[in-house]
Amino acid sequence: MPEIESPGHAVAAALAESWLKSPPKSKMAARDLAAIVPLLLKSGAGALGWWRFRNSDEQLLPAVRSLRETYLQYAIHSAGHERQVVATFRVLRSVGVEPILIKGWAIARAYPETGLRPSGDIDLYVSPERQAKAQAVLNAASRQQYWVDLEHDEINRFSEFDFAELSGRSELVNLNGTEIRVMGAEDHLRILCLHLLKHGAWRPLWLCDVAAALESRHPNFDWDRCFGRNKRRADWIACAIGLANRLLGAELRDVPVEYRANSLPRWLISSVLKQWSTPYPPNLPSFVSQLKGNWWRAEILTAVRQRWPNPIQATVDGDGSFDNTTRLPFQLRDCIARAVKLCLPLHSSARD
Amino acid sequence: MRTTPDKSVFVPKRKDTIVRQLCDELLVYDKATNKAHCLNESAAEVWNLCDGKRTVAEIVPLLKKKAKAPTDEQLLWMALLRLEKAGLLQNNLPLSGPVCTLSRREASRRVGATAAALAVPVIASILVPKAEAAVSCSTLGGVCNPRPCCAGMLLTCVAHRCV
Repeated sequence: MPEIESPGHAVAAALAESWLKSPPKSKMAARDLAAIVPLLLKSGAGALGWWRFRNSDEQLLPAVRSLRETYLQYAIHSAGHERQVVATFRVLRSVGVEPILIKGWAIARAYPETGLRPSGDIDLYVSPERQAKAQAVLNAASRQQYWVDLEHDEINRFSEFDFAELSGRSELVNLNGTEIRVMGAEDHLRILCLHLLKHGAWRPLWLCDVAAALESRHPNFDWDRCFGRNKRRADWIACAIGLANRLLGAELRDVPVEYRANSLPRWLISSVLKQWSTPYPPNLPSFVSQLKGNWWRAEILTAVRQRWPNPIQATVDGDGSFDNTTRLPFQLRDCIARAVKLCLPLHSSARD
Repeated sequence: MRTTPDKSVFVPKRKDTIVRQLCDELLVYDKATNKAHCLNESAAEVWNLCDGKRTVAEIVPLLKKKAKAPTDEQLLWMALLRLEKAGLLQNNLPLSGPVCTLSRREASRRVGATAAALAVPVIASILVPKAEAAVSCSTLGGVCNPRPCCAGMLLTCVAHRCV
């Protein structure tokens, strides 16, 4: 049985090819699996974990019992979520807004069962001119039972394409008898990659999304459109796909980034695995309250260390290259940006 | 001794339930009890064939046609009994008679060990726990009320902003 180096490696091994209809049988030891079950559950990958191990040897089954409960829970939740998606499209269309669904159900449909990929909110992209109108309709009391997000950094900050272009390439797919507009496959894979990196790749489920989108692409998939014209962004996307290959075994046949999968910067894989190894921390106290009265002591080092930026997220925020150089400048820049953002609201509330 | 009520009609509980076809089972979630019931293929067939109109006598031949393993009226009653026990029938089974006396072991003997896994209706019920969702979160500078700050980034919600 292969030796597992860290919990992060075990999470990667547990989720490898889990998006397939029949994932390969795992050779993981029961004790390794039992150790990472809480990590899978907390990161939203519990159902995928069950899918991966459901046909495993009997000795693994006690370890995955809680994953099965999560699988059932997500299956139930996905039924409700799909109804909410349909209802949201109907209400927006009733006021003349045609949204495009991203992430959530739009990627869940690439998995063997939509419940394997839980969705917490509904991510919609609407025309910037209609966004205020859409928000007003969604803010109505009757629609506040679930969170609809109209703001998407991965599009607003990084996209080279405007709404008309993205809308023109979008597709209509059937969901319970209603046509739902989703991003075109190329645009969606790009958005999933950027979303993963923007969030520092801390949820393994998001890398599974990249893998599922990659492997469910149509035969005429246009890679130029997916990568876009900006070379740096194109490289980010290639790195995200490379990560999906290296960590989860996503298939790269006919994908023009194989070279990148084999030349990922050393810090990239290790920082992803380090994050996947760590149980998600509870909310930290505010920086100010943590340092109250102790700012000159060692507590400041602890407080800063606890908030030390993720190198992937810091690179993306600093619009940097995914190369082998140190991430320190990006992380320092991120710390300064964070301090400024901390001070601004405090300053304005003090003025009020 | 119960007389087999061929004309009996059973109505599955559809109100307040979420039904989801999974890979190899049917999931019926009862919102009222917060319980999820996993029906194997043969129990799911019975659930689907019961529509409040078809009688037991009418369901048996349909079940025989659809089932992948030998089945008979006794197994149908066994499925109905289990659906009733799980609270998934709107009306009750008759109180007496031979129809409900078949145990799982007897049923397995009747249909043979190999076919038993397919033919014997099984319903596993669990109380549904709360699970983590993949909800998006706010990154640095993002609004954090009601949406949470991204835990993986060690941010804190201050004055409705993640810092």
